[in-house]
Amino acid sequence: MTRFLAAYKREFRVYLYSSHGWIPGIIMLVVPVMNQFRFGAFMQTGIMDLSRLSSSWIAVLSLTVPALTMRSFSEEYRTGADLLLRTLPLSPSVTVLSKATAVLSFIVVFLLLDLVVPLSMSLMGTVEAGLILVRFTGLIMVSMVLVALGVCVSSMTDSQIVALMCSIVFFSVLSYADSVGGALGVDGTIVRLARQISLDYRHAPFVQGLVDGNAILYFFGMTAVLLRVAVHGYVSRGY
Amino acid sequence: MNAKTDPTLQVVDLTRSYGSFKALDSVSFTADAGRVLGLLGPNGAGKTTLLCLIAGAIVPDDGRIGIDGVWSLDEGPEWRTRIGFVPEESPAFTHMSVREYLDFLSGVTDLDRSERAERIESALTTCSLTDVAERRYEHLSKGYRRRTCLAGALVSNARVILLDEPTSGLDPQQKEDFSRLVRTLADNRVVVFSSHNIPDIEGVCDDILVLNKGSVVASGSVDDLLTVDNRILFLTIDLTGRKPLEDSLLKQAPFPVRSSSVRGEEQRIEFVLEAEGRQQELIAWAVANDMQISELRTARESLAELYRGLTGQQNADKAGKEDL
Repeated sequence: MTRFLAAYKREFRVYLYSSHGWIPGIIMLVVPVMNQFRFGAFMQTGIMDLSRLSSSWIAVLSLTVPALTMRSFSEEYRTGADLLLRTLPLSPSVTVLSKATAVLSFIVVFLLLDLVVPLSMSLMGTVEAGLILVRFTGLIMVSMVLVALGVCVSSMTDSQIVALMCSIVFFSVLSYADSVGGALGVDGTIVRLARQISLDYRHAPFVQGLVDGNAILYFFGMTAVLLRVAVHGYVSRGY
Repeated sequence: MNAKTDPTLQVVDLTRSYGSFKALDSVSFTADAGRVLGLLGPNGAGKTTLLCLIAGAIVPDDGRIGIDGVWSLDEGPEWRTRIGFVPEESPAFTHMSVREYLDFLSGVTDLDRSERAERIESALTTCSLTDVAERRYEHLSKGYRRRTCLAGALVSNARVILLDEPTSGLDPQQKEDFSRLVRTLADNRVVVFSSHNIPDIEGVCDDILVLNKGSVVASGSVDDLLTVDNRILFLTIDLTGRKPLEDSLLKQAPFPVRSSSVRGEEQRIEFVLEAEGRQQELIAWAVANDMQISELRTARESLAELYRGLTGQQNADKAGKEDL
């Protein structure tokens, strides 16, 4: 555990002390809030609707998470810093897990900062704390899968651009798999299968304030599979 | 085998290929604590591959590595706590201060917090980094970066320290300081010093392992490897306030002169002894001609010559001089 924490701290610092972390961080902080209050015509409607905050978070995450994870391994492969990591008493699983956890916790910090929106709204009226908590949990679940996907892609290439582009594409596929099936007019087993792996489909209950056990299993299962592939990618990229 | 009687570092039949290219072929050697082992070889000889294998960064196709009688394959990542690796390229942990970097490296060992703090302070002191401890890595000079990397290898319980081209890019003063530091580190550890810079190796190493095309072509102590040629005598005379010896005088010497050169206030003359045990004749000749003898010694094959002979490197001398 001590080793994991040391590796985690080191990874977290990378994001904390670099523009590479702060730029996506500021985007995560500003865009959902702006969308909620400015573009959402929030003040005109007079209804405290937080759904825009949640939906804009998904859009923001789909761009910022790949931007954060693209350097997880790619940058170290490029600079050769991974050689030192490989000589430390860290197992590949711990290395991968520390990187993924660092990005996820960095995202969670900004998610928490965005809680200022419902908190400020609670001054004007009643806010459903349960609904907010479930939506917040849903966003963490989606972030978890996205981070695992980004780290997985990054573990296979030394190009940050390739990692970024591939992560965005894979995320889009994963997110809208069921919609694409429907749009193409494909029906039956393929659509059902696409729906099972669709992030959008799995996230939907959380937006509505429902905690779906199957969805939680899906999010954790998907994360585990992607991180396992990342471990394989890291090991196979060895010297 | 009793662990106490084992050499600190044992490498047995280590083999590693990249595709069809055999980077290392059955490399075996041992090294004891308190010794600095120089790893010498041309580019592509397999030096870095060997260091990476010992450090556990890559897995051998065949063979095994032991430290204090414990074999790498018997333990997982735990085994790497016995090794401190200083790679050729400084790690890209530019966002960290020297202290944070050392804290990270000590954090991945199983030492408790107080011992970690002690080790960090000790490493900072040993490597003369106390004054720059809070400075970020990216703001350090090359010399300090190398020292930081070396300090990183000291914060664990490393019994073997691996240095991959540690003096590259350092100025002569920094090289001298670094070499002195390396010597002090070898007190109770094995230090493996990889370089293609012959003077650096010669100045700091007790033993040498020469690699060529993935195989060991020579190994042993520096003294054993460099044969002494008793037929050649080097006479160095002090020229302060005097003129260099003229050719006419050199022709009167008891032995034929092979070469003569003047460097600053010194003249160095190389004689070919025609028979053993006649050095006294040369001394008598020098004294009779009022020469100030600075040094008189028999010739020793240089490491550069040995290296050239073993590896077929024509530019060994030149490379060594350029790096000075």
